[in-house]
Amino acid sequence: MKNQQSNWDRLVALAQPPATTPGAMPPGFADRILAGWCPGQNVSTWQQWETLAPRALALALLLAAVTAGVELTAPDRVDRNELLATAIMKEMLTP
Amino acid sequence: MAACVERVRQGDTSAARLFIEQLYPLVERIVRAHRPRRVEPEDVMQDVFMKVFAKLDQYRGTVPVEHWVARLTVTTCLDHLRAQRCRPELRWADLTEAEAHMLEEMQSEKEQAPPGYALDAREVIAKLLECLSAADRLVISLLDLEQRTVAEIHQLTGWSRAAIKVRAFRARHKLRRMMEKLEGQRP
Repeated sequence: MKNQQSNWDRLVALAQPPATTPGAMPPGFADRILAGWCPGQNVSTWQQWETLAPRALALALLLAAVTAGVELTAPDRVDRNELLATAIMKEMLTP
Repeated sequence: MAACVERVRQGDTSAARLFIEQLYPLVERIVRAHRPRRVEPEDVMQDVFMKVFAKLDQYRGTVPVEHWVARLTVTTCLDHLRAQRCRPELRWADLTEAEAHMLEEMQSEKEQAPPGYALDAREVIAKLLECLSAADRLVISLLDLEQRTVAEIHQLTGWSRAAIKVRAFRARHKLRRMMEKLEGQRP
């Protein structure tokens, strides 16, 4: 056990992390940050919207597709809402 | 720096640019050390600065702004690490020829492995750390690779000193077991 511990220590010693020299800021980096910065406003709202918008669109498309599928194929005597809920759950839980 | 923060809060764009330029080296150093390997450092740095600007109103000035930004950077890296799936285990077959040779040399009776293996050792360490949870990985990187003290890690992460020590102990135990297992698979 002690030997294995020292193996880890030796591995770490051998790795000798290189002295990090700070790299230059990529061109346009500050501009990209500042483009999303609205003084006095919460930037995260903008950022969250940017992240959430594609997901919201994907969910809306999924809902539309499943609803259309259920409308077209559901047998007459089946509760369509229940069928719709089951279909959506299955779709969302499938990786 | 405090004056710069105040100007940024008032919406001064040139101060905001200066603020980014001054903090960039600090953020870059932390991000390069702790980001997941498959994530571009620039994406994480952008995420960090977006958070810095979004949360600047929450900065109370009780600590230097560099400490506050460093902590935000570490927690952002931790979020990115958590989003990555852990490698289930490291097998001997996963090692490159050079990495396997380096381990063989290291485990032989020689006092020191021959020079020129630093890069391979770093790769093996990175692969081993990918098998740990995000928090374990962070604590080992800070303690063993960056040689930070428990007090510094407490400041960077906000975790209690006892929690850091316990986590490090358990993470090292996992690493020992992984290395034993790896050694056992050696052809």
